[in-house]
Amino acid sequence: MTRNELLNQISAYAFAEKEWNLYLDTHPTDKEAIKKHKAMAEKTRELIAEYEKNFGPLTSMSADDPDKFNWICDPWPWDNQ
Amino acid sequence: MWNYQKKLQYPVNIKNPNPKLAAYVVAQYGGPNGELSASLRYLSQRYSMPDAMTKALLTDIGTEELAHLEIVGTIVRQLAKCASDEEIENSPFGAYFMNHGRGVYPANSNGMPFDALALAVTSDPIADLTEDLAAEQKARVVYDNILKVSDDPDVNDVVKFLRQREIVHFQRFGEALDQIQNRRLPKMYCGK
Repeated sequence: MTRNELLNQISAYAFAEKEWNLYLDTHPTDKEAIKKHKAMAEKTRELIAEYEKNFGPLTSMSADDPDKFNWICDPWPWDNQ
Repeated sequence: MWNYQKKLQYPVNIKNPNPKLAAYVVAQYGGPNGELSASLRYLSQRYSMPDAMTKALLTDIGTEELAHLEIVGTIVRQLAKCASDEEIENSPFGAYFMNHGRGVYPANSNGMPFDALALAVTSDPIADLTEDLAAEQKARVVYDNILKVSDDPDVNDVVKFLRQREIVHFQRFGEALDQIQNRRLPKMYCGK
């Protein structure tokens, strides 16, 4: 996957996670929704790990290049991709 | 606290500069019905919410609004970034340009800077949640208005996403208000 394709995949799963999150805020005992929320969260984490391995950190906590602090690298989210 | 993720919640890639549209879309950055107003409203109201459900909901929606603020700022910047001086001068973006150049500043589409009078905190959960319902509808109307005047598919795709979020948030706030008014909160869950 290219950087943009992977980023879009992350956005899709992270969005699904967020959507179940808001639903569960007002339906906190819906077991089926809890399961789906967990599945979306796991898939998002998995894709973020793949992204960070190939394209650099999404959070400063994941910056791990010993030679340069790659958190600062372009592009930033508001730059045209 | 918050952690920054170096990505947008929804991708924005605008190909054609359009300073006129930038001058309109900035309404949702710093205007009374915009995303800054929404995030500050919910993140401030949450401190006096009475139960776990409403504390969580206002935190989570307030956080999502910060992501929307970033999306709207990105639209404004991408629309203005490559516009020529002449295009800008002959557009409603001209007056904004005198103070802010091609940057992103929290003002409404009339150039009025952001004002916290656009939001209220009463510490009464029924009053606050009722305001939140209206706020989501007013934000939806502004997105409707942008869609009425914009023919840029790159912008409209993102605006349609943001518009849908207003509708989902309205739904969730309605459920929270109903639970508070009718005391339907399940005895759960967060207690020891």
